[in-house]
Amino acid sequence: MEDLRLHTEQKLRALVRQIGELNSSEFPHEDGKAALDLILKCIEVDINRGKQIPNSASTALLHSYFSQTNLNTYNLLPVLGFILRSTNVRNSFEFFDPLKRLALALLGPKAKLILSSEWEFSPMTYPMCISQLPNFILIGLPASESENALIIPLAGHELGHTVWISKNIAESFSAIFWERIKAAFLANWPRYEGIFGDADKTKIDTDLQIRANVNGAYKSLEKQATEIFCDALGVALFGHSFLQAFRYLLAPGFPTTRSEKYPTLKRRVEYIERASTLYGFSTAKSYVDDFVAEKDIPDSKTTFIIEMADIAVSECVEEIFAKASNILNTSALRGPKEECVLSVVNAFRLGIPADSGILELSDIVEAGWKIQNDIEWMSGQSQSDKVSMLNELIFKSIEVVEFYKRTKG
Amino acid sequence: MLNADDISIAVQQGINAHAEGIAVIPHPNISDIKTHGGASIDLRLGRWFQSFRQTRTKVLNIHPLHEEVEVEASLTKRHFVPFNSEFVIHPGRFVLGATLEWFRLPSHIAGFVTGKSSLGRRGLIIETASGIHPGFSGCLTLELANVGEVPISIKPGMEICQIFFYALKPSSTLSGGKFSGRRRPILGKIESDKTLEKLRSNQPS
Repeated sequence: MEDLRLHTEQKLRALVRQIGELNSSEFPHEDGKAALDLILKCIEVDINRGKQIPNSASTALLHSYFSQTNLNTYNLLPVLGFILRSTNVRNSFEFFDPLKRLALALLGPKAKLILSSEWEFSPMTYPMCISQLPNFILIGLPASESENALIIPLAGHELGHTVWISKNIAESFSAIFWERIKAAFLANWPRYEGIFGDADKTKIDTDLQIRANVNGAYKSLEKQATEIFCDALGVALFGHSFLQAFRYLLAPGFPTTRSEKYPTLKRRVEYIERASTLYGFSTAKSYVDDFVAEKDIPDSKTTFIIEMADIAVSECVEEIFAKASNILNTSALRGPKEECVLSVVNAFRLGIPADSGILELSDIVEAGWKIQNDIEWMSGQSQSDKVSMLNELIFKSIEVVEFYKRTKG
Repeated sequence: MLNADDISIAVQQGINAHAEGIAVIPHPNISDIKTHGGASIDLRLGRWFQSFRQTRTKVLNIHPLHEEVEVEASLTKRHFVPFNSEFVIHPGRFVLGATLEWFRLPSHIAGFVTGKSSLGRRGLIIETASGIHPGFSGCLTLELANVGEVPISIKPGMEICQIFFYALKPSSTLSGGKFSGRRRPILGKIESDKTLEKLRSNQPS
C-alpha cells in the first residue's frame, strides 16, 4: 500500500510539472492561464489531502483516495491538452473577444472562455462541466478550419450547450417532454406491441419494462432537444450564416448509422431553416436536399424507441425555438442587422475591412458569407486567393470592432 | 508631400469610402491630425509578430533561385501578443511586426514609413524598407530591430511609427492590387531576377 501512496504522489507531481511547462506557453488571452492556475490549486489540494491521510487509515479509505486522484488525472489530461492547443498560433485569436462578450451576455460576468482548434472534425465543447473549472466554457473548432472565419457561427451552437445546462433548460421542459413522449408511445401502441410483445398501455407509468423503453426514448428526446436548441441559438445569434457554416462543414453528411443523440441530418436542417424563418432571417432556398439520409439503425427495438423520440421532439420544436429567442432577447443580444451587414459587404467589395465599432460579430460573418457567394467578387482570381483574402478582411474587421470597443470613452 | 490639411481631407474621403481617399482602418481622429499640424499620421503596433527560427536555419538565402524557395513557416515562427502584454526585443535581435491599422492608398498617393524619434533614441528601429506604393492595401509589415544595448519592451497598441504621404501622377498599373492585403506580418516572396540568374549560370558569355 505504501508504494501505491508513493505512486499516487509521483503521478500528481508529474502533473504539476507538466502544468508548470504549460504555464510557460504564450497565452493569447488570460482565461487560459487562469484555468491552469485553478487546476494547479486543485491538484495541490489533492496532494495535501493525501498527506493528511495517516498510514494507519483503512484500505478502503486509501483506495478511495488513490482511485479518485486517478480519475481526476484521467479527466484533466485532455483538458490540459485542450488548453495547450488553445495557445497554438494556428488559432485565429481575433474572434476570442466577441465570442467572450457573447458568453458574458448569455452566462453572466463570471463566465470564462477558452477557444482552441482541435483535431476533431466536428466542433466540440466542455460546457462548464469540468468540476475544477466551474465557470469555464471550452470550445474547440476543427484544426483544419482554424483559418476559416466563416465557420465561426458554429461556435454559437457550442455556446448553446453551456446555456442549456447553466439555465437548467432541460428541467424547464421536463414535463412537456414526458407528456409528448408518452403520447407518442400511446399513439403507436399496436406497433409497440408488435416489436416488444403484448403490453398494457394503462401501465405506461408503472410497468418496469415499458418504463425502461419510454426512458430510453426520453433520453434520446432530451439529447435531440439539446441539439435543436443549440442550433436555434446559433441561428438567433448568427442568422443565415449559421446554416451556411453548418452546410459547409457537414453536407452532405456521413455514411454512418443515425445517432440517437441527434435528429436526422435532414430533419436537423429543416429545423434550422424553420428557426431562420421564424427569427426573420430569409432563406432563399432550402438546403435539405444537400444532405443524405443516414443509414437506418439495424435493431428494430432501438429504431422504434428513437422514432418515438423523433415524433415527440418534432412537437416541441416551436417551444424550443421560443426559448432560444427569449434567452437572446433577455441577454440584449441581436442577430445580424441588414444595414450593418450591407456596410460590411460594401467595405469588403473595396478590399478593405469594415471600419466601425457598432458592428456585431454576426454582421461581419454574415457579410463574409454574402461575399463568399458573390461570384463577381475577385472574379478571375483563384478560389484559394478569394478565401484567403476574405478571411483576412473578416478577422481584421473583428479586431477593428474590438479596438473601438476598448478605446471608446 | 501632403500636409495636415491634405491628409485630413484624404483620410475623411477614405472614411466615406471614396476611391480617391486614404483608407486607414481603424481611422485616426481627424481633428487630432489638423490640430497636430504635422505631415504624418502615427500608426499603432498590431498583435502579430514573426521571428526567425534561428536554431533551425543555417543560413538565410535572401535571393533563392526558384528551386531553393523555402516555405515561410519553416523559416519563421509566429507569435500573438495580447493588448495587455508585451514583446521584448533584446539587443541585436530582429522581429517582424505589423501595424494595427489597415491601409489602402489610392492610385495618386504613395507613402513612406519612419520610426518615431522617441523610440529610435532608445534603440528601436522600426522600418528599413519604408516605401509604400500607390494602390497598397493591408497592414504594413514592420521590421523591428533593437540596435541599442538594453532590452526593449514593446506593447501591441502603442504608437510605433509614422507615415508620410506624397502625391504623384497615377500610373496605368498599380503594384499589389486591391485584394492583396494581409493583417499579419509576412516575409513576402522575393521576385525572380532573371538577370541575376543569367549572371550566376555556368554558361560562358
